[in-house]
Amino acid sequence: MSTHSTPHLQHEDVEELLPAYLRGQLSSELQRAVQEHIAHCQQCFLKHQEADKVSQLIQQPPAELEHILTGSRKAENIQRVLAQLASEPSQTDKPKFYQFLVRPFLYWINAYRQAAMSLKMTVAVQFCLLIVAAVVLSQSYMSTDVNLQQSGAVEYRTLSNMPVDLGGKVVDSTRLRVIFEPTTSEQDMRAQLLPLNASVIDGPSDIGVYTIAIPKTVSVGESIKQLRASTSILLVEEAVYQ
Amino acid sequence: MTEALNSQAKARDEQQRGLLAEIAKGSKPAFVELYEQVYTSLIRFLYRFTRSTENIEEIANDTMLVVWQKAATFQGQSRISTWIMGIAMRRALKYLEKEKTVLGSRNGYGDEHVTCATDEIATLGLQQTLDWALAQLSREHSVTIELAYFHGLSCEEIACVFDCPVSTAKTRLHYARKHLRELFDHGSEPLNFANLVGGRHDVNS
Repeated sequence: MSTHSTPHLQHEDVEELLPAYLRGQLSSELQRAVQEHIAHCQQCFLKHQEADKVSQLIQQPPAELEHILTGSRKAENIQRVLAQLASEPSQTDKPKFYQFLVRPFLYWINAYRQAAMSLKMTVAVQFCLLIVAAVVLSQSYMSTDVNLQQSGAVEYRTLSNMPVDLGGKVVDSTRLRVIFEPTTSEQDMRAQLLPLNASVIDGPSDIGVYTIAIPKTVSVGESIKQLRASTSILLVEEAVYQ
Repeated sequence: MTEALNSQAKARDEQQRGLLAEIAKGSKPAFVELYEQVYTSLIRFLYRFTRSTENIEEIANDTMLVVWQKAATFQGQSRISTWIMGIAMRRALKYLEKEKTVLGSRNGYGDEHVTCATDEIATLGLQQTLDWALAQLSREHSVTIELAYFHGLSCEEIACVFDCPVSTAKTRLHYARKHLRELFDHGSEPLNFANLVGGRHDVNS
């Protein structure tokens, strides 16, 4: 005998099916498949023999049970249960509310119990995903925040065109963006701005841009021309956002 | 779970489903018939589970009372007999917990030491030898052997009775066989009942 398996069943399948096979409880296809397998497999044939012996021996009830399994004892026990049932309302005796309310309720409870495990698993997985998402998002936000703080990029600037205080006098003004030569001193800057009655109201930004305000009374075009003529100024533009 | 059954087993289950449907409507004759049909299986199962004849009739009656009460809730996902065994197991467990009569310390999963049957079986008959051997196994293992070899239940059905994963039922069946083998043959050969048969007949004759 060789130790090959049939196309349908593996050795472990056969071993599992042997008890039901020996009791003749398998479907005809499975019964045949097991039979064919053990006819060609020495290993499973031995297991079949072993299972057959256990199966035959176990059919006899244990000696201790013989008196309980007698017909009269069986009848006594059945009568005992029937007597207990007599004190219990039968299914049909139960009130109408039971039939229409309690029974459907029990049915749904039962259905819920069966679905409960999969539901619980789904909820648990969703909960875990939510926790993970929350942790990831908060960490990402915190790291962004730290980076921004470290780079100093979080800086909001007011771009309104509200009247500003120019030389102790609140006047309507026009904004210009100006970039000075990096070597320009504060004194030079003042010297450039004073003739125009202009004041630095913001800056320098990260890229060295100053916002200056010039009174509306002064010509913007002229001011720009004058500033551009200066060698210590690299760029002058009227602010798009006043 | 009943696809692998033959027509006879299916027919029996169908007939028992019919009886249960009648019981759900309050039919006592159907109840009596069902109890008569499952009585032996139930008693044997409870005996293997509790390892005692004490109170097994009470637990069996208790089980059938539950069957009477819950007949309408049967979902049809297993054989009727498997469903009843499951109820019986829960009732028996409840009883054992209540009475604290867990027999000895053999309530594990079969990894306790087992001894060779050589000396003990010399004084026993073949039938008693198997009973003795089953009593050496853990409760789960001896019940698994009973369910598989007497009732012909598949691993899926055994799992249903124990309310455990199928893989657990398979493992239990595997180790139950292994321990049974060890009891007789020191684990080296498959159960060698052939030799025992001669010995037992000699002893008994």
